[in-house]
Amino acid sequence: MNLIFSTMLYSKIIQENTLYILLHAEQVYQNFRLFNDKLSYFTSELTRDTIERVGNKIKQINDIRSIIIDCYELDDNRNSFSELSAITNYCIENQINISLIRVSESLYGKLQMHKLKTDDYGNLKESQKRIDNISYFNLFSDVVINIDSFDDNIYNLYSNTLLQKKLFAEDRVVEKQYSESSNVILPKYLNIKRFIEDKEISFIGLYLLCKKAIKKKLIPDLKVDDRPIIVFPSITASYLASIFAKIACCDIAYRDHIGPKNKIYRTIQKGVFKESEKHLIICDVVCMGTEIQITKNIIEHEGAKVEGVLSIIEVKVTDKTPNNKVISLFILNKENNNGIDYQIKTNF
Amino acid sequence: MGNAILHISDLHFVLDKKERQNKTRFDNNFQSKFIESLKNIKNDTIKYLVVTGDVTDTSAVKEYEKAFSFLNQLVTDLKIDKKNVIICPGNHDVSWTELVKVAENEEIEDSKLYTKQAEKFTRFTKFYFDFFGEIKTTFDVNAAIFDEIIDNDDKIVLLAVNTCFRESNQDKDHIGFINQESFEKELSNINFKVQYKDYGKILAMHHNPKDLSSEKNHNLDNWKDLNKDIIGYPFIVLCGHIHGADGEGTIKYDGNIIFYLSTGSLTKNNIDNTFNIYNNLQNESIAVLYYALQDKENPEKYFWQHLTEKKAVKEPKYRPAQNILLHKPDELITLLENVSETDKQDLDRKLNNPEVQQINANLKRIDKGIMDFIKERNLFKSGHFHWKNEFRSHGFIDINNLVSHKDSLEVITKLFYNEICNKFNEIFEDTILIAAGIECNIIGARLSALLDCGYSFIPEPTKEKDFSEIEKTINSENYKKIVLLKDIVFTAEHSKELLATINIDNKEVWVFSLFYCGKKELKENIFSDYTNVNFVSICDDIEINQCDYSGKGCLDKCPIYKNKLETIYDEC
Repeated sequence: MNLIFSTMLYSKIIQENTLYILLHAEQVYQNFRLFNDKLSYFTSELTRDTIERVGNKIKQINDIRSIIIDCYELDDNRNSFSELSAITNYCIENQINISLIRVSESLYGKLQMHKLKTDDYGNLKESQKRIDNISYFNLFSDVVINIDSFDDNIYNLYSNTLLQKKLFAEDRVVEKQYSESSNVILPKYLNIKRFIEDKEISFIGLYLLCKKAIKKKLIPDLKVDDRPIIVFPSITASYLASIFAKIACCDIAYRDHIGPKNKIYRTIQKGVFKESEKHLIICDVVCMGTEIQITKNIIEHEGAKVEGVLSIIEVKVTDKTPNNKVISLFILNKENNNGIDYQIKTNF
Repeated sequence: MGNAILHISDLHFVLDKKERQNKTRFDNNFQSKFIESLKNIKNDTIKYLVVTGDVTDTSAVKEYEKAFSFLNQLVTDLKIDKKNVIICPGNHDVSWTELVKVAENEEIEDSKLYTKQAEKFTRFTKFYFDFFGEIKTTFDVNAAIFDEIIDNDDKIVLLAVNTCFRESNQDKDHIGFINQESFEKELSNINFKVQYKDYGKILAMHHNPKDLSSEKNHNLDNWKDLNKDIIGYPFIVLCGHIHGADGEGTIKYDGNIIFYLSTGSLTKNNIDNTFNIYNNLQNESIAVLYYALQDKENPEKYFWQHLTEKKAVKEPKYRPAQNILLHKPDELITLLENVSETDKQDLDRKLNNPEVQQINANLKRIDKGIMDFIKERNLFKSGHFHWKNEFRSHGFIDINNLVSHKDSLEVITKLFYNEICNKFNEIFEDTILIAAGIECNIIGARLSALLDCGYSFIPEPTKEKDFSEIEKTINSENYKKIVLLKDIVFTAEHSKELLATINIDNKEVWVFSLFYCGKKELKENIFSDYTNVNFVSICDDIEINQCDYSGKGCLDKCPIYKNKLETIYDEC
């Protein structure tokens, strides 16, 4: 059997000739090919084939002046220095600035990264920075990057990429300008199906959504057996749930189907939401909240709990704090709606 | 020293004098002339000997002794190392006498006699061990591939295949048949496509895999059922059995080729082609020379000459286009002397990449099959299942449960991935995976992260009224190949409805389904109304009966529903 695994970069964000790569996200997706249901976001080992794939792919990207490789959340490696030095050598030969940032002390040692400071392997400059009381190394071939609040920078970079893709607002045929789940008129549609079909934004997006959910303690560490169950209300959200559940190491539960219209199929599926279990709802867009409320009602009707809601886009229709904890990858509000012109109307 | 292959077959050593005189030429004079002739024309050029079966006529001990003597003389005189010799059993090498003894001494049904592999190959096994001595000390009677020669200098892999798995003294068993499970398992272990991707691949077997005759016993019965993609195309099959030469390429999708080369019987009268020699092994194609016996009427002057007619000259491809080597092996060794110890270690680690080995091992190992999950979790329900008017059955598989739990979802994803890799040779950016319905979107999402191809999804046709217009759109125009993922195929009506919504004209279409639950005999032709649709199912173990009552008032006619025996689902 010929293995035909993907060679893509899952975490590529390009902004003004700078390529940003989140190495931990690359490793999380690399682990998909091991078909191990326990490998998830909580992995900290960087494998050689991940660095090799990243290195091969970098060579195929044109018009890049600098590359930032973020090594955050990786601690372990089995001696892959040659693969890493191949990347730095390529960058130096092609006059591309290379920065390796947020390298933990452990990874620094295991990857023998001190060699990168020598003439033979790039002569990179080194700095150290403490984040949450842990010391991290940063290696730069040229400009020293400020890594304070770097996580916020990543979300901002990603939001900008989403806006550039212009995937979300499509003109719709006039007679079909209605919402599937509530009595409002939507002249434009947030097309999450196109988000899914564009792998370069969906994979990194779902990784970042999981990162947010972990930070907000909606996804516990792997040691916790009592893991939340991911619920989705539509076929579009089933894709999001599948990737998210893999990254977060969770099971899935669903009724076929519960939204956008409030209809329950298949009496055989009674009891999929267990009384003792915690559930997280993942959906594509949270706007008026109707779809979430329908899903929540069904889950709670069976005695189960809803811990929170995850969405790709949240449309801030009011300033009121929502009842459910909603974690979104992108928030569409009055400030950033200028270029999009998303509208919600009624016949009134 | 050359590296040609001498291919002989159907020697039919026979003791019966009458038989020898009238039909078979195998006196001592013939043997010595043959060997002498080969020494004259191919001295020092033959490295491999392939014997594709029927070394004896009746599997008699004395016949094997004669065959041993001849083959031993042949390899000695031609200086062929015995490790480079392959001898396949033919149907005449199966001992009926031993099977008769089994039938006399054991209570065994005639239909099961063929399973007595050890007994039926007893005499062949003894001959095999006598011939090879300490060079080849095993002949696994149950193995589909019982011997292999891998030569790293010539970059060839020669596999010996036993096609007599079903052969016995019963009329119905006179067919060529390969132990399918063993064939596929052993090929998977060899890992052809990665480890031997640029090697020339040759399979040696007795029966001819091509359907050459309306007589069933001339053909290899289950060749079409075997997963040959694991070998990697192109490859060559060397065979015998039909006592005549026949070579022809079979074009599969993507232009993949299997070339069948048979040689005639070495000894039977009235046959032009008596043996073959294959040259130029290091190239992508090999040169085939068909030899014929000359001066047949004058035993003292026997000699053999290759046929020169244009139609007899063939150069089949048997290895993929080769990579250009920047350095010859000896140059590489010199270069390695100048690199540091660390880099040498890195190179060594690269050649023995544990991650790749781990993935390979992990893919081969499937700890639990789908049926295990179904049994453990009681996921098969019997009773009346009525999903609108389009789908009525008397059984149901709870696929919802299978894709909801992370352990079973991993297994299912792995099985789909394996099947896709088995059917596609390379990364396929011209391909789009389209998941049908929620269950397949969950599986497809995982596959989309593993494969460099486009991805989309569509709702099941029975539910489309409930989905938004956006969800029904699909971007498939730019792709040449479409892979439709289905959870279950029953009569394939749903799949056909889905295909009608996608533009599949001039495209290669594959339908991969987790379950095929329809009638087994209908499976092969289930998409026969299309010329471009291929069907692959992962689990065929559950057959579900369709509810035969349809139309208005159908529910009142169905005895299961009417009598409230067991109803799984009844919302129309």
